[in-house]
Amino acid sequence: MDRYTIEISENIASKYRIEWNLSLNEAISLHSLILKLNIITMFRPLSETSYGISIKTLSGLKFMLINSSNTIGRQNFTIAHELFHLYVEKNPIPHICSLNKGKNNSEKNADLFASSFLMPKTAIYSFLSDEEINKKTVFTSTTLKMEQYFNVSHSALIIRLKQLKLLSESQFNDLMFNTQVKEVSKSLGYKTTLYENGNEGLIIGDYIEKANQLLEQDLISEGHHLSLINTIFYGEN
Amino acid sequence: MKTIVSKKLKQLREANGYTQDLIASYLGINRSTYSNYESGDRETPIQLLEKLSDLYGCDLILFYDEQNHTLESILSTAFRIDAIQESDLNEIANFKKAIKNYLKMNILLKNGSLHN
Repeated sequence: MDRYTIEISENIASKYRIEWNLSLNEAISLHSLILKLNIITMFRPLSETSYGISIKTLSGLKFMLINSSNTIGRQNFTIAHELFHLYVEKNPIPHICSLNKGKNNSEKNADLFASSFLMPKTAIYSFLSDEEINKKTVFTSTTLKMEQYFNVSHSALIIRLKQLKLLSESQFNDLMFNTQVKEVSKSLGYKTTLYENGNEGLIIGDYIEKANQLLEQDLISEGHHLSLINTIFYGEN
Repeated sequence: MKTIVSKKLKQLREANGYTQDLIASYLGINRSTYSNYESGDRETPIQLLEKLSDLYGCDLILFYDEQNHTLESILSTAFRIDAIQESDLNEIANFKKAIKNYLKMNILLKNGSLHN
């Protein structure tokens, strides 16, 4: 797979926004989107450097495992990244996406797609004042507002601004390594859930619905039903 | 002596990119014991094959199946894991088990039985 340019990733992201009936500038509720697409998604605690896994079966069914030990902002980026593997890549090779994995073109393209998909260029510009655009200086308060709007982590937003050449090198470093993001965000009245982990045990998709249908139709025993439910909720047999 | 089970153990492990050390640790046994299973020098206990079928997302029967067509479909959805943390293996196995369950539920809802 060739490495995408920013322009190519923007075009692909727009194409999928249209395909999934999302307007070109709105913030995306990823949980609603994967519910609509019926991607069976489990949120389970993995080690800190693992982000997520997705699998597409030969018949086209799609599954995701998202690390609930990552922050919510990071989880959202991972979901968008995995959407690339499931929909854009023709023959995805299932793998765990992690910090430690050396990034090949497929991983880099998935990151670029996630970035463009979650934070469209025109939507980013709509938050910036003329002064910020002209001086390549985005105020911290503006970055925090955008993070809240797009539901992404601070680093994902800052990297996106750098991609769009909206930050100087020094401002990129200042913003990227700001350790007070959560505190400042709180002082501005924003919710801080983006910067916290969560969602452990959350299930999206119709797995449980199917298990319940089987029980109602007497196709499985209560014991079998319990075992199906326990697998998806608790990882038990 | 190589048996069908021992050959499948090696094929599936390598297709998923796991080391013998990692699999032995996931199964809670010594690497040398696991190595004996792959070489066919010792018979693999069925409880361990069940645990491995979860990790690889396949049915237990696959370990005994001489035909390779099922294996091909499993391998096409195998993980390539280059940076796996040992502590994540149980969650990965559980994820694959949930997928296996889901595929079986679909068949059951469609046919009323797994065997139609």
